[in-house]
Amino acid sequence: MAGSQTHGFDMVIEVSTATINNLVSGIFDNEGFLGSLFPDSYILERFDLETNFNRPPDVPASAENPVELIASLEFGEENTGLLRIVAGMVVDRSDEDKDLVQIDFKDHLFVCELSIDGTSIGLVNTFVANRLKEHSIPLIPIPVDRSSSDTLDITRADLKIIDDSTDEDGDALGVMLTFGGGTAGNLGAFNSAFAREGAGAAVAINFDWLCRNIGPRIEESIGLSEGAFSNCRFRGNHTIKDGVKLTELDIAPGDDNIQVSGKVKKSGTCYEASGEIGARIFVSIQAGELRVRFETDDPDIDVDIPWYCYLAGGILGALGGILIGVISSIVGAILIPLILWIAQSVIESTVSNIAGQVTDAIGGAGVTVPLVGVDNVLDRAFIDDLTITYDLFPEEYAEVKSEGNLTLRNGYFLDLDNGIVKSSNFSGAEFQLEGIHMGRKLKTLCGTSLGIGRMPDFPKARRFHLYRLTYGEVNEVPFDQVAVYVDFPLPWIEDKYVCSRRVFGAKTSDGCLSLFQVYHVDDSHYYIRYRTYQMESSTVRIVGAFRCRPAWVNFEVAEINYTPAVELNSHFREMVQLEFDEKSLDLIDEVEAVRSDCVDEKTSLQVALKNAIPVVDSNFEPVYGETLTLDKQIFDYHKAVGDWKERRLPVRKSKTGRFRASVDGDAVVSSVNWSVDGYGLKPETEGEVRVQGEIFEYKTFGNYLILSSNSGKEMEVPLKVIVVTEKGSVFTEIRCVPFENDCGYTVRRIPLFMEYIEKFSSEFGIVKAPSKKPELIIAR
Amino acid sequence: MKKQETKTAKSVVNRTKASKESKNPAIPELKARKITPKRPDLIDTAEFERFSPGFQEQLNELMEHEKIITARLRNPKDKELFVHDPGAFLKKYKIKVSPFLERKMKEFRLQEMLPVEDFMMPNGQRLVPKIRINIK
Repeated sequence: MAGSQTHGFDMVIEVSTATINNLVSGIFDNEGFLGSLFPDSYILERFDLETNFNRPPDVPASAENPVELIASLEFGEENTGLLRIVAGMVVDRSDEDKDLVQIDFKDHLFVCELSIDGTSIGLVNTFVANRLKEHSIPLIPIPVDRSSSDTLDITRADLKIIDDSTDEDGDALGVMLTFGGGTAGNLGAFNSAFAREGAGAAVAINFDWLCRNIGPRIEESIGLSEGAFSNCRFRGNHTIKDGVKLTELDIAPGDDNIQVSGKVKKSGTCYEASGEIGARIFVSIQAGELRVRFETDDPDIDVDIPWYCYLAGGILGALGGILIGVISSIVGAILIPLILWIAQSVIESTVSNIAGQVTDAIGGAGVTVPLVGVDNVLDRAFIDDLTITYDLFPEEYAEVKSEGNLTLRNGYFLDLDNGIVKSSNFSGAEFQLEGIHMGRKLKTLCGTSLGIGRMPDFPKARRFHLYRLTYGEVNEVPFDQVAVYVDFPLPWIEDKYVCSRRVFGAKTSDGCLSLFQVYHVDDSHYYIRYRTYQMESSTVRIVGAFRCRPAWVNFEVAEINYTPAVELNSHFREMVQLEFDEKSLDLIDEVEAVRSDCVDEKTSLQVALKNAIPVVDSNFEPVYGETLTLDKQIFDYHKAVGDWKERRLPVRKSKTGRFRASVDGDAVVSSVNWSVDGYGLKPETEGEVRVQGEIFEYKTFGNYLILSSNSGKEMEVPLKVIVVTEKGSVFTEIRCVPFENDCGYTVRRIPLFMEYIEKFSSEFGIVKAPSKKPELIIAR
Repeated sequence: MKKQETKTAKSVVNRTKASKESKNPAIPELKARKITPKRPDLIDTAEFERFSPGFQEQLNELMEHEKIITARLRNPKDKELFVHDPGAFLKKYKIKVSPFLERKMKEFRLQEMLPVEDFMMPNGQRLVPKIRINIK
């Protein structure tokens, strides 16, 4: 039922506790934020954070949306500590263009308890609480246009900590969005999270809102009168082509799909025919793209024929092939393209654009506080209200000293600080690859500590993850943690070695934190990717850029492009194949039982795989389902017609850049002075400054500089910042920031139905196959 | 019923006559004769005119039995019989037709009239149209 998950809101974003924990960990680690909360005598070396959305008993009853953060701390000189914070999560509406979801320490700090070595020290506790109250942690900035009536403009964001009372205990942060023309739903009804199936974040779209968006576009594209398809329902008589009239069209939410049905009729000499077809549309993420697949019901055709015509047509051949012609023109030429158009052009384009809009909103908007950016990847989509899940993780925020891919030959030495490989030991080397074949091991060398503990996938691993590892207890990585040797030919993998792709952490001989992964192995080499972080030191960077504000409503279409189906299908095949291989590798890594069994036959292998994993992540199901389903997976999303895309240029008045002097390390800033194109700006002021003759408005506060201009000129804006620390150190940074005016973006375009039919005819056409079971019913 | 039988008999006579006439194309008065379809609303005149006059006449004669045919078609079993084997239907109700029509009806195969083709979707799904024919 539409709206059952969104409780009347147009769209709801849910973010899991684990994801929030990762984001806050990144923010705590960024620029030494957590360490800066403590007095100078406490040097924080590492921490591990736990975030809890269960309502703590020691917060006032009036406290709304409390979130509990518990940080395990390790200071220098072997002191340990525990910091427990309970603060309220709020929506900051102070910016007229943005609703900012944040953890508010300034006005909603309910609990701040610090114990060091098991003892609470009142003065230190107060110090930390006071420092904490100077900050808030911004999590999700939502661009809003509060007065808009357009259904694509967000007018308001609300939030609720969802303390999930179901067995799933899927606690989450819920951000509820209302769009133009809509009204806020029932915030109190969110007592359980919606099914995210383990994803870090999910977006549920109210079907009614989707309908409000696609309705007018369908009317325009088919040529229906305005309002004729309101509530996704049409009844009437609208000629499409060749005398075929659309009489009914419905789009409605199903249990886990969107249901579409259409009915057309056609009449002529000797017949009156009507055709009806229904389909269920499923939305999913395939190889990183939002795609729909569909199951279509067999079409029902009713043909009224006068007896005389039946004899004339059927027996005498006087009218020859009435039925064949009529059915082909109804089913093949109209109903099938109608279903495909609604599924692959209307639904897929609209939902894909919405997914992109949400991605931009939660990952792209600039904020004026030390936010660790968010990377998000479309993960899954399912329908019950339409739900798209995201894998959400912090952007890389720490300075990287060295990173890349290396090939390490058996017996060779590796330096992770500089990415150097040599055949003999050398100063600074961290590891040697000893042994051969399955007897190989990566052995740590003098000054290097290997970390033990769980790390996320390599692309999502961040510096704070390395804090959680235990270092120095082991001094080698044995082969069986890196890969397995598979002594039977897998049907889809040629490699004899299958890598675990486990991510390892290490402290290098230079004292830096590093992570690495062996992603490929052959008889003679390990292929390694690695990333080593810079040691903390006090440096200053200018962070920020001129950004284009998302403009989903006020824009001009600059260009329309069409990509033929054959190109899309070919690209999709390549992408799915890559993903399939990746999943196969992951899968094999999980299947311990198979490793020891010698399985020759493909079918036996599949049985073995199935038996080996009693509970299968549904992600893997396509990998080894009832049949090896790669081809089916590709075929399911095969397109008959290509995609239209349009490039939009937003209509905007000005462009704003938010810049911050980012001070790494434990330096306490005393003063910050900005200058723009050589013109010094006083701290805590606002005014105008000219850059290459163009007027820029500026505002300085704290570490920040905001610059905006409505200039149409493309240029680079020279910025300079001078930071003085309490200890009298002076840091200077100069950066030229591009001020470009191309704020265009590309989205999927819904073609006119007749445009679609034209491409359908030329690229796919009416494809028929001899029928083994034609079904004929004589009407009684 | 009697009236119907008389009409049928007359039809046979006429058909025989027409058949003879068609074998003698040189007879001047027949050359000029033009037969128009009795149900131009149902059959395209141009299509109708493609047939020989005798054939056109036979079609028109069948129209003379419309009342009895449509009455019988109200019976579902008779309708089914009509669709699958129109020759047997006509025979059952003693509607006589020329040997030519009789032969054509014997040759009738419903499958030849049916669109025995499925439609293929781009995802490989085969759509089998369910066709519901309503003979009026």
